[in-house]
Amino acid sequence: MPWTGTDFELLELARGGDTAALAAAVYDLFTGDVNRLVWRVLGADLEHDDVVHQVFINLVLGLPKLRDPAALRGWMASVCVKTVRTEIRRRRIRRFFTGGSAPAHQVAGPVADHEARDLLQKTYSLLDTLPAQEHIAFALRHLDELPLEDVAQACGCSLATIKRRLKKAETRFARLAEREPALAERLRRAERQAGTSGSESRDDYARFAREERA
Amino acid sequence: MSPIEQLAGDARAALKSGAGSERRARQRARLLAAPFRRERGARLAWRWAPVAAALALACWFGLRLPLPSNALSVAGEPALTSGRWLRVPDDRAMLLDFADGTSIRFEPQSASRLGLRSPSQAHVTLESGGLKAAVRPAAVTGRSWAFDAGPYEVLVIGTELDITWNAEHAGLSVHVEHGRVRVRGGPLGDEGIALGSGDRLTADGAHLELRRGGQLVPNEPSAAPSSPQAPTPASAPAPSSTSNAPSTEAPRVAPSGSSARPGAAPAPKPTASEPAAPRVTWESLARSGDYSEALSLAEQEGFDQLVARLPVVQLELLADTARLSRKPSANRAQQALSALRQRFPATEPANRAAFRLGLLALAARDYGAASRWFETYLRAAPGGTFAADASGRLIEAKERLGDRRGAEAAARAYLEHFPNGPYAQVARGVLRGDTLAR
Repeated sequence: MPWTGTDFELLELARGGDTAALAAAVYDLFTGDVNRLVWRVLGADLEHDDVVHQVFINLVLGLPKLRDPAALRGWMASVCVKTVRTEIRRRRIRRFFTGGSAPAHQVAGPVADHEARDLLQKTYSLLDTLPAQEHIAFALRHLDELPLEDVAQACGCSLATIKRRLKKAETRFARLAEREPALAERLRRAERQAGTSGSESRDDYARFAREERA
Repeated sequence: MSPIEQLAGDARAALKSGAGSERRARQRARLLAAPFRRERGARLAWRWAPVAAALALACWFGLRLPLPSNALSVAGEPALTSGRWLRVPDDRAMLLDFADGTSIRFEPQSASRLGLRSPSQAHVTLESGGLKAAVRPAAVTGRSWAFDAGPYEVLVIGTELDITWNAEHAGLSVHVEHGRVRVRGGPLGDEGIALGSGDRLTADGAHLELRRGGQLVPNEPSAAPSSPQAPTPASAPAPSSTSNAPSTEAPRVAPSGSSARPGAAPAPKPTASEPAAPRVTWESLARSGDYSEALSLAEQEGFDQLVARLPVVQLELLADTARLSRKPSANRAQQALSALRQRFPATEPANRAAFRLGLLALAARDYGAASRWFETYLRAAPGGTFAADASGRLIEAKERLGDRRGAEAAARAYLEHFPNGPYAQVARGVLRGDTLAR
């Protein structure tokens, strides 16, 4: 039976020590949020279920230490983000040691449309090359459409920091997308539709390149 | 809206929703079965991370060993009932749990096919690599398990065992941790040999070696045939085939038509004409999942000649080899599939070839040809394995071709037959007047 108690009761349950009941309650309560967040940040990933499992393990183990019921949702998002960040870094380390370059992102599950599948593969392959913090900030903001305040809270940083991080991520993403013909074409089309010349993003890129050189 | 936001919006729309209800039910069951204490221990292990990192560096620089990683968990029962072919990733094992309580762990890089011979008979064909199985007794579950590896078959009575198979050298290794199995086929004949707890059978080409409880059993099965009635030695009395004998006992069942019984007269050595190991062919490589090498070998052998003379099963495999190679050759795949349809018309493989030709055409953005092939497949096999997929892709091909009415007709047909299929949303979108992303 799905969890119907309050957040306060959930914390009480966590402190009670019945891990099985707590796991069931936490899963029922957060399955939508966790699955959505992991899905959006990592894409239609082959290891989606493994990552979700690890998030819930961390939630169940960490919940007894949480004191404020009002902080439950924000805490859940931050645990989720930390777990995903660890996963992204773990993959990067694994790639480093196995000597492989970033593999083409594999889309698991039925994505009916070839173009859509291609877009997903390229977008997430590109996100994989961004630093983990930027990857997550970009995905939360643009793919999960979270408000900036929520992105900042989930990432555990200030609003100003998240804005800076996001700007960097967008600039880097735009620069890398220019090297990928299919994405570049989409960006140009979007620019034309938006009636912008793209000069703004190019200016950003130039500024970012100067900063990086400095 | 900035271009980046628009691009992200397209990606978001393509991504759709995440895990469905069935997948979430599996996640929930997995979570509830998780050993939380061990997970907590695993977190504490991070304190040893610097040491682990140093060791890993030593491995990388010195030994170039791959890092161990967690096993990939795959639902076993659907894979078994649908007869799935499994190729295990290079860097992690794959773990399958089945409804009867049996679990099988496939080692990295192994390839195998699962299937049911009958509702009570499961079998796994190990094409290459290794596996570790914990099989619940058929007497308890009502389901028996058999493992095929090259010419060998391992019939499991209820046990934990390791099997590895090297297709290139015809190398088989079976290690029974506990329980009983029977290995037959190849030089062991149809009757085969029974193995008990702690026994290890190794076959390398024509050479067989049996160890009982870690000790080499002399005059154990060799490749050359001898009398099936070879006497049982007094020093190692053969128990009845139904007894659960300790591992130090002699083999319980000797292979028929071979000298597998202990104490049997020494078998004549294989003659020079007997091959030590089977020749590597494009087919063996393809069956082991190495399509790139298989394709290059097939090219050396003469792809055109192969297409002209191969029987239907091999011809289909050749087409798959061309399609699934690391550098796919659409032309070669098309050539093999077209030849298959021409040489073996009105057969099931010919129907499948039509579907695959449709896929190739779709990938080449030849939407007219793709539509025709999918329609051909659906006419020939309306209830075929790929019917749902072909119906869905037909919508896509028609829509991209600009045949709006055709796309709508295909969408209506799809929703009629597969209302909950993976293309249902695409079909509804087409009927609403949406267009697919270009």
